[in-house]
Amino acid sequence: MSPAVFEVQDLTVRFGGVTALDGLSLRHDSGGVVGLIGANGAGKTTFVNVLSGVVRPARGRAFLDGRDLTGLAAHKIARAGLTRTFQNLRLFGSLTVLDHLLVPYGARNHGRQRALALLAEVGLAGTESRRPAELAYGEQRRLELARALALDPRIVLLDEPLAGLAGSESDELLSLFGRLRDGGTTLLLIEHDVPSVLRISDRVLVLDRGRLLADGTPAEVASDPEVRQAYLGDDDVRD
Amino acid sequence: MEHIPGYVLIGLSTGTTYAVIGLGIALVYQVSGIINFAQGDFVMLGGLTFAFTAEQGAHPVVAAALALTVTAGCGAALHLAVLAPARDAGHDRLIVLTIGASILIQGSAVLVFGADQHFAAPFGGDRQFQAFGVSISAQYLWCAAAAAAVAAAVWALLSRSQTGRAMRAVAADRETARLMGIAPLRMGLIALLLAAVLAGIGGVVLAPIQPPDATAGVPLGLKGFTAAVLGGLTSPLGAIAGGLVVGVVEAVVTGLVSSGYRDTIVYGLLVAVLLVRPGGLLIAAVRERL
Amino acid sequence: MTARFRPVAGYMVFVAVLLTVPAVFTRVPFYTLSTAVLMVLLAIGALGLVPLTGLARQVSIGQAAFYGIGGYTSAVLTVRYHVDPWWGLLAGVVLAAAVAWSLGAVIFRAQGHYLSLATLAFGLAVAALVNELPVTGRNAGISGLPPLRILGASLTTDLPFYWLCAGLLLVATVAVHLLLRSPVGSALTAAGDSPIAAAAAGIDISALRRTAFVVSAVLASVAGSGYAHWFRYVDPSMLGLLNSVQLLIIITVGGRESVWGAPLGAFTVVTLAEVVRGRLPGSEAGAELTAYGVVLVLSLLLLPRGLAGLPAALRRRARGAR
Ligand SMILES: Nc1ncnc2c1ncn2[C@@H]1O[C@H](COP(=O)(O)OP(=O)(O)OP(=O)(O)O)[C@@H](O)[C@H]1O
Ligand SMILES: [Mg+2]
Repeated sequence: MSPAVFEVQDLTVRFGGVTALDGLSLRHDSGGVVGLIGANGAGKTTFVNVLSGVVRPARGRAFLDGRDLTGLAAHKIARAGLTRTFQNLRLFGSLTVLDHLLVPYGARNHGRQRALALLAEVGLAGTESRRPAELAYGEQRRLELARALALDPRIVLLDEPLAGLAGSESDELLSLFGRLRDGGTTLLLIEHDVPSVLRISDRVLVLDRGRLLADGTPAEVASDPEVRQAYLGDDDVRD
Repeated sequence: MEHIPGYVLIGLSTGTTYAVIGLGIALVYQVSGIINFAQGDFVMLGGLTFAFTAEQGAHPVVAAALALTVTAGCGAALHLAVLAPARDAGHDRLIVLTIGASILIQGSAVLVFGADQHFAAPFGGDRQFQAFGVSISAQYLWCAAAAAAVAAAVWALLSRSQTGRAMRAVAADRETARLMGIAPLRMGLIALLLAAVLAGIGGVVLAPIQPPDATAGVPLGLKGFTAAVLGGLTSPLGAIAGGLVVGVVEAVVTGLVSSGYRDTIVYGLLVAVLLVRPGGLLIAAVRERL
Repeated sequence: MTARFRPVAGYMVFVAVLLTVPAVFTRVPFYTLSTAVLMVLLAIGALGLVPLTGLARQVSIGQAAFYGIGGYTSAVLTVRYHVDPWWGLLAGVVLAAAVAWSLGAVIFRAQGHYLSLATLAFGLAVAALVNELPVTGRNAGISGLPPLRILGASLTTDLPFYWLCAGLLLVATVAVHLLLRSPVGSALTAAGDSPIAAAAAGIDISALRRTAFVVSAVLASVAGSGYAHWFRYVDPSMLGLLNSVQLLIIITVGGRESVWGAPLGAFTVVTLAEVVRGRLPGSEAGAELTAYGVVLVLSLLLLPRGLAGLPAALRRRARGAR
């Protein structure tokens, strides 16, 4: 059996009394778009934080292409081909937009042309000499995404990349995600907009209080009674 | 070697002061995420105000009350005039701000009290007691009592009062606390005020044993940091234990090696602790939400 | 003026100022050539904090240790072993860099706060050590250092020594400037703006911070050696906490993010110290400390980019006013 694109075993994270991830185990073999949904506080961001090396799990292991990432420094994980975006934007306030795409490890070797092309791809052409504060919110979100792509990752963890975007903007990004998937990049897409996730994902994971509530194709997950009750139903009430 | 119990006793006695200072540092760090480099200067300010006023003939209780008022006022001023306006600044600026406050307090203390040491009489008269072959000033009993009292008071405040619960909520999770209607800034003010008063108390009880001058706060602050870091930096109880450990190490080293290398070893200990424990410390540092 | 030519113009002004300082400082009251030498030496030491504190936002409160390592290495080697002063300076640089490198290897595994604490403790530990070791002359220090020599000429008076230091400052400024504009500079900025995002972009922030720390140690050491050969005497007060804080004040008041912050800050801080000394009531030390504290706090609150950031701030304000 070839190694999984990513795999976690018995992942457990606690913050004081809160168990954010509770013995989570799953593997993903085939690439494509993996949707990750779950209520507020379900542990989605924590999952991203553990995989990207920001948070150390209390227990459990994480693998990328069969390589053990557990305990590896965040920059090594990024260099190994796993990058991420941040739910609360974390841009480099003093750097220009273009520099955001030249600073990531190894990105400079691809040259300026490549960086400019990437900017055009996410719809930020013409903004290269601006700083994050001079960008609209939607543009800042897209810059987060472009920065994560600048390292040519094997897998990108997208933590609510569409939050706060207008409908047309988010459609553009969804089609960009499709292109990335077709180019062989695996995407883990965290998103509260469930219909979008169901539409674009090849596989959907539902997280609930740190555990996997459901896992399957979009159709399977959408018809799962437990999901409908615990999450999708809830969601209608809450939003 | 047979002197070690005596050294340990001396260490525990001096350690109580470090414990009180470390407690204040840990409280402020826990609630506002700020390392307060002026904490040692609050101790100096409390001790100096106390000794100076007592020298002028004031009743010790009046002098102590004045000392605590001054440190509390200074703590409030530091928060309201310096830290709160800069709340959006990064932690690097906040650190430099507290350093600025520290030298400002030192400078003002020199301007007001002069550069010389000031002396206060021990509370119960100048008595010594003997134990394990060492002779210790009875004033250390006051230090120990004060440390125990403030530790109990802080514990009661944090675990029993509404304010204490709110402070712990801010410490655990700032954003959620804010959503619950707790103002982190106000909790920061309370923590700093509390830390300043603790430092003032420490300064007052220490003044008869170590006559303070305007620079006395720097080494005390450093030992308080060592105490707080040893205790994990966010744990009030840990800081108290850390303070006692620092005191004991300092006393044993002074006794067994030489007093000359005492500072090298105590400051070296802080470096070593910071180097050995970053794993444990890191966990505390990832409090910011992503 | 376009942004492209601003650095060149900056250097023209800078060189012009450095060239006219001797003429001016010997003619105006209370400035002397010694104040000029002091300012330049402090500027060299503070310059190293631009990458470390200005870009990577790591606050070191232990720079006086490296200043002292430079001064004492020079003193020990030249006085006790009769080594040539330049080799002494070089040895100080190597030692300071080695110490910073090893210290940085462990410190930077932790987050920012601990660097400040660790450098503070490290600085005080080194100061206490220098005060005790026989080889460093304990609290008496070491006297009788030879002057630096250039082309066979001893720099025993202030003027030639000033020219030497001004030259060193210019070279150091250009070097740090090139560093800031290099990929390393952008990476340092990124790591300062958001360490977590920088790490997620594959940047090894610990290695980067460590590099900046070594640069700061090297420059502080050069300043320390220079000071030692100028003063011809070193003692433990060189490693005093206030010297570390003074470098921090210089770079904060001058501007942490620009190479011009160091000379601007050194000029301002030394001037301020001269002004308050003997002019304010009370003791000198008190007045000086108070003044330092006030300018440090005020500049952080009112002028976060320091004096070097003033033109940009004014330009922004003018634009906003229109
Ligand atoms: N740094 C932290 N410190 C303390 N608690 C945390 C921290 N990070 C997350 N938590 C807690 O862990 C739990 C999971 O949080 P997480 O951010 O992973 O949720 P999420 O699924 O991303 O939610 P959301 O949809 O709101 O982004 C929550 O209860 C949260 O309060
Ligand atoms: Mg989240």
